[in-house]
Amino acid sequence: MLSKPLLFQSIKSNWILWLVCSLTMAAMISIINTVLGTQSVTTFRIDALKIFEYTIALARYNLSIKGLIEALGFNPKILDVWLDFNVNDMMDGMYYTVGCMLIPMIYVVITSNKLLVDQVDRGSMAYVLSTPTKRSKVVVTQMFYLIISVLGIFIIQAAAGIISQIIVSKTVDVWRVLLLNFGAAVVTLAIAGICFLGSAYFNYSKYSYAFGGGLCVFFFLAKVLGLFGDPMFATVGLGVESMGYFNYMSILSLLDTKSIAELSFTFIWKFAILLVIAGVTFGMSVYVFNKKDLSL
Amino acid sequence: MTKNVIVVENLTKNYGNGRGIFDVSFEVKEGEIFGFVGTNGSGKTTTIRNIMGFIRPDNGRVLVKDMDSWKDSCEIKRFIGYVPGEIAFPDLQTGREFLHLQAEMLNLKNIDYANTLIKKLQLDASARLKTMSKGTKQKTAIVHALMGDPEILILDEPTTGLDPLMRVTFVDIIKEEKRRGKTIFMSSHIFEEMESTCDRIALIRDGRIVDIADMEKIRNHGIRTYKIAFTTPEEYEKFLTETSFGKKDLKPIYNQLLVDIRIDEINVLFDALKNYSVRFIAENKYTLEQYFAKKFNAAEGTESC
Repeated sequence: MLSKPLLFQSIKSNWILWLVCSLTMAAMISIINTVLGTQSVTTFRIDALKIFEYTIALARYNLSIKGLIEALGFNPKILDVWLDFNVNDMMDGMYYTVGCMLIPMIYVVITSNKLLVDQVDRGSMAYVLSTPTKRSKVVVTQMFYLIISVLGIFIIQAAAGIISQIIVSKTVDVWRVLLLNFGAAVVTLAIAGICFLGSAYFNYSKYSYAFGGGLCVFFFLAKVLGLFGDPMFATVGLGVESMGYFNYMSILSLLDTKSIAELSFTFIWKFAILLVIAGVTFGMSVYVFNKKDLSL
Repeated sequence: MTKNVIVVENLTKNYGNGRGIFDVSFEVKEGEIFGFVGTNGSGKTTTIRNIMGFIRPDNGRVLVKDMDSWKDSCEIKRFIGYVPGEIAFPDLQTGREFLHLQAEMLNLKNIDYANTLIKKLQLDASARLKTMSKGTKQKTAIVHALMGDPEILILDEPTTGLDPLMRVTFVDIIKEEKRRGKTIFMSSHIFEEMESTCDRIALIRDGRIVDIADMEKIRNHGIRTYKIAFTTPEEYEKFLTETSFGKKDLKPIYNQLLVDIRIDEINVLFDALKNYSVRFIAENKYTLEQYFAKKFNAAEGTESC
């Protein structure tokens, strides 16, 4: 199924970018863990007794805390949001669905293009295909490299995340870190499948880059815009709830960090959707590449 | 009867706007060097890509050793060495690294022949692929195509970028391959190069085969053309009026003309020339170019000159 010399060639021409991405991700998660340090499990220090006192005091004048918050210009839901707030959950959500996705997306766009369309466009694919190597073997080998290297990036990040957290706060929720990284890896694989399909379909690098890169930029921007619809921001006036619709437009939203934090299992079917996207796009890549004309 | 190694049957690949190849048919026989000439954009590379099974024909087919080149594109590669028209190497460091990797893909255990070729072509295989000159790249591609000792060589403009001395070496290598029984299909837009190497040459223009020439016949063409110059205008005039040879291209200012003569009548010409004062005489070789020019003109219905 795999061509060993081609795999070797792909490793040789792509390992530097992979290493740079992996190390950057490892450094990022380690720095975040260090900065957050021991705050990691604290919530806002809400003093229930004090709130109770204020409530009683305000009630004397037919007023309520809710009214006070409204008078300050905040959405009254803010209390519920704050009570639920957990800095760790928020950081996970921000980091795994937005922050840490940029580098893997860039990696995936560049690498998937280098593995197929660049070689077709430049003509260097001629050398592989002038040997008795089946086209399907070529695509499957390149796909294998892409998938394994993506998984590698997140394995390294997960390891760095676990180790740095142990060093900083002595405790770590290993399963949670693994699930989040697995989820981010699955999102990246779905994106990789889409980019790889573009790389298999197009004959010119520029089109393939525009397709894969354009989609990634769109997914990323939609997710960032979606953040402004997050209750956390919307209630304090930093966003509008309806901006949340942007979340539905981004594949990055299929990593449900909230569900992972609560272990509510909705994240599992979202993973399933991502895996189906990856499976279909990678499968189509093989089909498309086998059938098309190659200008070599 | 020699076998046909490559059979191209009514091959059509239409890229629109009159570009592509149309109803191309020819055979390449076992052990021959088959040339494929044509201007840029005439369809040489498109035909070659079809033979290699890189593109799917709109119509017709190519058989390589009786296998369909599109459907069995992997199997036919066991017998083919290929020099692509555009040389772009994989993202690797040196020429040696590239050749070693290719040897692995070819399942080649013994790279002695590659080393022999490297020596013959004076290739510096340790050079970095990215900084290689065009000629060095071309040599690397040639070594890559030949090192597996394949039965069939398909070479798309293999001498591009080679200096004149290297071209000679290349032609020697190709002739040696032929002696070893290889079937060779090569394209070029340089007529002279093809003349000296090929057994048969197909001319393609605007995607259609104009003619397939047998080099043996062109080399032993029945009519010879001589350019004769006389010492004085009087001698020139005398020759013009007194003799009845087929004369053309008269240039009175130089006292010079061309004479067409059948090969078995050459002595008649020389005998006649004894009576005139000749400044010089030279043979105008009948070239492939002239041959095809004639065919071109005939095809377009104009008088040949």
